[in-house]
Amino acid sequence: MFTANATIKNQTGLHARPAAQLVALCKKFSSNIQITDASGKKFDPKSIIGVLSAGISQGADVQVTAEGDDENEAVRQIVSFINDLAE
Amino acid sequence: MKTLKGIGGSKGYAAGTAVVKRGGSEAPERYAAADHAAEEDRFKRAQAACEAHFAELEERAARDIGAAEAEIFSAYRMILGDDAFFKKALDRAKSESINIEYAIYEECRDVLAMFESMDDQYLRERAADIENVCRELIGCLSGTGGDFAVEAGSVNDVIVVAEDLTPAETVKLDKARIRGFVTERGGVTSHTVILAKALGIPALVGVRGIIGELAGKETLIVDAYAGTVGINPDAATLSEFMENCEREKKLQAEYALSAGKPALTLDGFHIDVLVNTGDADSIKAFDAQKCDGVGLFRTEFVYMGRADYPDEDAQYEVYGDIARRASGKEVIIRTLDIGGDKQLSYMGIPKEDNPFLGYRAIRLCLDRPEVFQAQLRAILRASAHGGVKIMFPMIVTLEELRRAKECVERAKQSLRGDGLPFNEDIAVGIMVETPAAAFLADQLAKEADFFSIGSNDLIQYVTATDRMNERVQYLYDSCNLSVLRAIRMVAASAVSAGIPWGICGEVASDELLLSVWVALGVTELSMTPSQVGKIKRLIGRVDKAKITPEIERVFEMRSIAEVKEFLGGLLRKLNEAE
Repeated sequence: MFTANATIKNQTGLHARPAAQLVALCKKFSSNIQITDASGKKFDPKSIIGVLSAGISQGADVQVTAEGDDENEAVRQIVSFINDLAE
Repeated sequence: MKTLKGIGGSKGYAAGTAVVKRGGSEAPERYAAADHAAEEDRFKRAQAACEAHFAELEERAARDIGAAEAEIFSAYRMILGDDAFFKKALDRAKSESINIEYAIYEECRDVLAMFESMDDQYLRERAADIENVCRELIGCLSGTGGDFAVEAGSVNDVIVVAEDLTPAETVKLDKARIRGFVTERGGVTSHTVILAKALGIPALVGVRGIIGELAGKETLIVDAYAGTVGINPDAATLSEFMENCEREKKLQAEYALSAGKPALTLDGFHIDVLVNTGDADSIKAFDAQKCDGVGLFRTEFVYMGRADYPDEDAQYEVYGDIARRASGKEVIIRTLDIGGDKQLSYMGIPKEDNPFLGYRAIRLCLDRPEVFQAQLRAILRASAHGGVKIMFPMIVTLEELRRAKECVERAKQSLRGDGLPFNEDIAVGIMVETPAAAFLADQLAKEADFFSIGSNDLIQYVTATDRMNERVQYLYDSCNLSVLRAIRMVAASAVSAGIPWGICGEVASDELLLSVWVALGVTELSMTPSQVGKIKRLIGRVDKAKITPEIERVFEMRSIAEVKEFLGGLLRKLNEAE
């Protein structure tokens, strides 16, 4: 298992295009991936409904966890995707 | 004739035959299904069928309606492919040994309940997307729904009546036959309204009880201006209504034609008619072919919904984009006009008792040089791409204007140092929206390149009336004699100094007052885009030389009622002239 933290800095949060992009990115990995927000709420980032219903907005600190063959690469790419969101 | 009330979401008149879409939101049948493998198989086939269906709708929407509409179906396909969500539904069907459509219905309800508690408009709309996808899927599984579009296709001049319409439903309708929409639910930003606006037909929303009144095939007359729908009108009412429709159609066509052409008075005096903009939607919709440029570009939105000040590059991107899209036409960018009434946490402005008289707009910018410099540099850089001008809000004294202009000089100097291009001769003007600026207009006109009267604030400050306070609303009147005198004073100063002057508040598109502005020598009027055609058409009916002495009489009048009656008479004559 591999875990790292990220912060959502963009204005709209995990909405719209960023949400869809995140799902597409996560689906590329075979690992089980989970994102946990500051309140401890978890969601599956391979599920667009899961991402949207988590309602993650600007300023949120999240924890990305992956478990599986590509867990290191998955966490690395997801964290940098989230940290680089600008839209 | 029975008449029901609603809200006109998309304006216009329409008459036609009612085609009613009933039901859709009730639960599917729940029954025992012991053979889960069969349910899973049914689900997979339905999912594939819906996927093909959405793909086709996406294509059709892109072709018939537009990219934004097509994007909805692309989002639908993403939801349809949400394996994690549908796995939960499959698990539920399995553990409860029930049919899959009912399990989807239940899972969907759980998700919607989660979204309901959010106060984010965007996310609530996405909840509707999820509901629509599940409903399509359930319809496909249970073989229900779908003949409504066929029915609508068999009638000419359709008025679609429904509880509400989903994008999947609207895209299937034959647009050429539809004259209007009437829905029981939905607000003025609902999907149906957006579609109606795109098609240029009326939509009436929030018409409670209409479905219960109709059996189908009734004649309906929809007046989305008054917000009414009449059921089975008699012959005389119908023919009168049709005449109104024709007149309105003709007028709208004239407006649309006028919008793209220069506005000249009968005696050849040219007036620019521009648009006010400054939020994501209206910037996206901006069309330089349908106006003479941007007369007021509000920059506050760039600063809102953020954790910190936007940097220069982010601002430059926004300003540069609008400058390029105006293709050489004027773009007046107003520097940050924010204060205690629009709190932005990162600005750290303490709450004030009197934000409209407080620390705001140019006062704040002059006090925070680094914030002001970033914006001025961004605006200047944008000036390399088009007809950008700078405008300062809330100017009260000449000293303020001078200090603000020094800031522009400093920004220019630093850009020269950085070797970044900008327009050296950029025009720098001011909003005239305080009584102080109006009284000082003659001096300000010597040092400002243009005036733009911000009538909304000017009326508020001149009449000492809070426009949000219901109890004193009656004093907030665009025909207030002192307001008109203030504007005349500003106009006279601008004219004698030889600088352009315009109006960018709501009175710019007030037909009643247009003759006054023309007589005072206005050079530009800036307004919401929907009013441009109407005002340009009216300008084309005014004879400036003839009206100027007549308008002088307004300034001898002693009551607002007298002014309104007089201007109303002038306007009637203008509208009646052929």
